[in-house]
Amino acid sequence: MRSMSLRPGHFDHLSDMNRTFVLSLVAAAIMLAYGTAHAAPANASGSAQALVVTPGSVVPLDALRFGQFMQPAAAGTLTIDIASTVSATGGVAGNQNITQVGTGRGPGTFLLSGSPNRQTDIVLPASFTIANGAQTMTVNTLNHNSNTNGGGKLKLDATGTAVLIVGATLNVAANQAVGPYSGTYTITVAFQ
Amino acid sequence: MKKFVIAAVAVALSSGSAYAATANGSATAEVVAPITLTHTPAATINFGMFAAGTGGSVTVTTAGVGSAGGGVTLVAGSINSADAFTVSGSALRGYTIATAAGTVNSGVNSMNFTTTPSAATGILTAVTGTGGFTVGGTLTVPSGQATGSYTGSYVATVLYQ
Repeated sequence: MRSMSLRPGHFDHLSDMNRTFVLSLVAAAIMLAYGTAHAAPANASGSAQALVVTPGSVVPLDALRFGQFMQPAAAGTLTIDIASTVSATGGVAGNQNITQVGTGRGPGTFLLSGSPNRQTDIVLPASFTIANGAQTMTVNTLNHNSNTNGGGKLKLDATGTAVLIVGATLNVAANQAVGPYSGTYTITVAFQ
Repeated sequence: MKKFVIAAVAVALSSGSAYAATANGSATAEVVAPITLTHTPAATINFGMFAAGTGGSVTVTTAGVGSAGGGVTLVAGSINSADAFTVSGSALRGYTIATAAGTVNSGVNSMNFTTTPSAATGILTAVTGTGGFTVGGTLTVPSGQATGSYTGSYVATVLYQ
């Protein structure tokens, strides 16, 4: 409608444009009406087809668990990948090889629910921190399982669900203060 | 104008079928206090005073009781003792204990010994996160071993399980 600028002396032209526009709208309305009528069978034996797009939901399942490791004398990292493989570098290397008490180690998981076979776009934070009082550690290099080589997407299965698995790297400082650390991170899932 | 209408319809449909959801996941980690091993001052595996004779061995239990074997005879009044270590770290965490063999020397003369810890594993106490163990050993004494005062050392290692 913005293109129909009111220009004095061109009312005839405006009128033509307006008519064209109205006709187009009518055509669209008819198409919609036809489609609606077609989708509403009048008898029980008829068939109807409709694409119902249910809003997606994301439910956190497992926490991203780096587990217990001995305080390192030098800085290092501890990585949990999406296959639950644990690796460590720097001063943490070797220090992670201690008995895991409680829930053990593992990647974070989320249950995605939506329409069957739909692709989703996953956005993970670049980093976040976990804390124990004033003491913190940074978690970064977040990554997730994906059905595309470049990452970023995860397709829902035929039942409309998928389990998103999140791996990450924990950065540990030299002589990182002893104690339990925890934190949260926010993920965004766009259901296409 | 027709194009405009079509474009508007297309946009409406695609925005109706897209939906973004966010969720908060949690992350956890625990830094465990390092395990430390401290040698108890003045403690030592003391194989005592003995006559080498035709050779044999001297054994000291982890309780510090000495006995001679083979041609070796302990001298009356010989004092034997076991070595001792304290361990500290994370409460209730288990650890393994390993002690290596060693050599005692007196100038150019030497004798070899093996060691035995009082336990292969331990669990640090609930409140203070401490523990400890003693170490005994067996000294191999060659026939006619040169007399003298022999000293040496060995390596003890504890690891979190």
